[in-house]
Amino acid sequence: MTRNTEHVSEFQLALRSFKKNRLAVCCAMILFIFYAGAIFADFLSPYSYRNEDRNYSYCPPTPVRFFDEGKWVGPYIYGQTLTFNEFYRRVYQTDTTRRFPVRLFVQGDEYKLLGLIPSRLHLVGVQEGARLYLIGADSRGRDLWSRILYGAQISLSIGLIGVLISFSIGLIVGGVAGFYGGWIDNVLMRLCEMVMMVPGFYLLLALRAAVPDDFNSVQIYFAIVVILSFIGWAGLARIIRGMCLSLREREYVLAAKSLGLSDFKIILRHILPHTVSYSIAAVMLSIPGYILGESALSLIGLGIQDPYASWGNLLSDNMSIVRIKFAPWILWPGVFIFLTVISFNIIGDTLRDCLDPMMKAERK
Amino acid sequence: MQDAILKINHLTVAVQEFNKETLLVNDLNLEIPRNRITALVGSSGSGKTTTGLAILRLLPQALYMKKGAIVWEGQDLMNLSENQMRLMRGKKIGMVFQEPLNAFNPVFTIGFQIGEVLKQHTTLSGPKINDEIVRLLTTVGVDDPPRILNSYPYQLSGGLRQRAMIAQAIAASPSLIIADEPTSNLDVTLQAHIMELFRKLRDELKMTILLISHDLGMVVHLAEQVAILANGRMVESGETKSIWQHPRHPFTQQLKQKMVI
Ligand SMILES: Nc1ncnc2c1ncn2[C@@H]1O[C@H](COP(=O)(O)OP(=O)(O)O)[C@@H](O)[C@H]1O
Ligand SMILES: [Mg+2]
Repeated sequence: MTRNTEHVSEFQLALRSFKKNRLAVCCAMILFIFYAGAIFADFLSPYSYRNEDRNYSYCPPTPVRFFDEGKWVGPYIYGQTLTFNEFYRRVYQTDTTRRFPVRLFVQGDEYKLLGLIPSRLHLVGVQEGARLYLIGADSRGRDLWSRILYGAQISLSIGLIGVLISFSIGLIVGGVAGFYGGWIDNVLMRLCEMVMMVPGFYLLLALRAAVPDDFNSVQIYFAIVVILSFIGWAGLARIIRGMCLSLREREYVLAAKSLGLSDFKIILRHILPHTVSYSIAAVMLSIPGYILGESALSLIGLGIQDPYASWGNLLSDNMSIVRIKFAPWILWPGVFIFLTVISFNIIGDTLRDCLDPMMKAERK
Repeated sequence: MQDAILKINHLTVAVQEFNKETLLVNDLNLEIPRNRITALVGSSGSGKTTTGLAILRLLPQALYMKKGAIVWEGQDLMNLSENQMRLMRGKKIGMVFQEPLNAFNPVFTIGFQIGEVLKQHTTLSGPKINDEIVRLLTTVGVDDPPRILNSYPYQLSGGLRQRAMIAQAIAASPSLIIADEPTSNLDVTLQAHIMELFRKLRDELKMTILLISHDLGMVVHLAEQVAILANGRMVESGETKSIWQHPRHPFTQQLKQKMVI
């Protein structure tokens, strides 16, 4: 006697209307490409993040050319020669007499793909004697494009891990507060408010000050994640708690209680799963906070330390207006931060609208 | 007098509304004899569901028990700790709700939700749980247990869903089942089938049943005892046959003629 009506969950319905929104789908693709770029950064980047050559400090981009006097000769770049002008400023000149072919799948700096497979294979590269700078070089002559790819590993993963931690805390705290209500709810929500009360950036600095100076880069990475999660969980907990307050009135929660199931199981199986679709929108909207938080810390030198790259510490080069004037390409990391943050926001907003019953009625 | 599995003494449930206390259940006394079907009949809003929930100590937050005792085998349930009470729910006293579509969680299969009860209250594990679910579904008269087990609540018809919920309620073999209007959303033939199932639970599984209904005519063939509830007060109680044949209270007469629902 099974009814053959096709069942689509609320979330699937939301996903359908999400797909109709071109802008949001576009943003999703941007993020997909960014994350893929971060995962395969070792392979995609021409150089390692620490491969430097001080003779190429702030070397401008070396455009890849394909034609020579109208004839196809395959990709190549010209060499750069360094001269100094009358103010002893570096001036790079394109040396059209020296031509270096750009090759695919070349051997280069050693790395371990996904941290496991040792390899020297890089997607693109040029032979010794010239350096390939797709978007330019930084102060130490490191390839900015490579460093942006490596920086994505840190900047993009901090958002995900951070949100994972604070989301777990938010789920538990919000679930418990919403399920039990009464004084438990009161205590937990006042705690949330205390965290939310302090302006985020100052809390960030204060917590960072509590982290020992002698941490190595991995420890700093995790310290930043923990600090950001500590700031982020409260907002999520409040959202979840609000949903649980109404969900606990559902009859299946009463039925589960009447069957003697433990509170833990009821919260975990009968309340929290129903908050998931709405939480996904909340999560999307909160990820930019982590990315910007890491960038802010790294920008002022309290986050990821050189030689490791993150989008935030790549931007710290931009603190001098003179440098921006002579090497405007060092603004590129900002473009990537901007695109990522706005993509997450658009996706989150669209998801929220798709899940909102009021909007659903409007669309009909 | 038959020995009573549950005694409700002076049960009074109240709600505070606009600084005024309203009694939803007013000094209710009821004895539920073992291995019998006792019916609690009253019009809608008379406090039947509230009584059922008070027994399990699951009253909605706004409601509170003002007075009274609920005595289970000599022990007042009001004196139990929350943990002890949880061991009573499902294991000693099971409850069947009016609308199984709402009482099942829509995102899990029927089998999963019955299995949850078995995991909570029995020592069964792994494939044995599955066997037990199939056995339970067979007991409640489901034809194709393996298929039902993997179905989601919305995929089943009303009758099957109600059977599945009864299977869930009896999973930990409680001695008392509180069935809150278990058939009022079903058509007449299905109602008869479900009533037959309760008879079977009493006769074959030796269960005690508190059958809540607004339809006196439907419980009359099944219940040995009946208590009539009006506006939170019990107006009449006793053997079903004598009450059906000689209703004393005018409200019972109305119920009999289905003048009130
Ligand atoms: N949470 C609540 N808050 C206030 N009043 C309630 C609440 N739940 C039930 N009631 C009231 O209690 C009375 C009895 O309800 P109920 O036990 O559900 O009746 P029945 O099951 O007999 O139809 C009704 O008048 C109802 O309005
Ligand atoms: Mg009712």
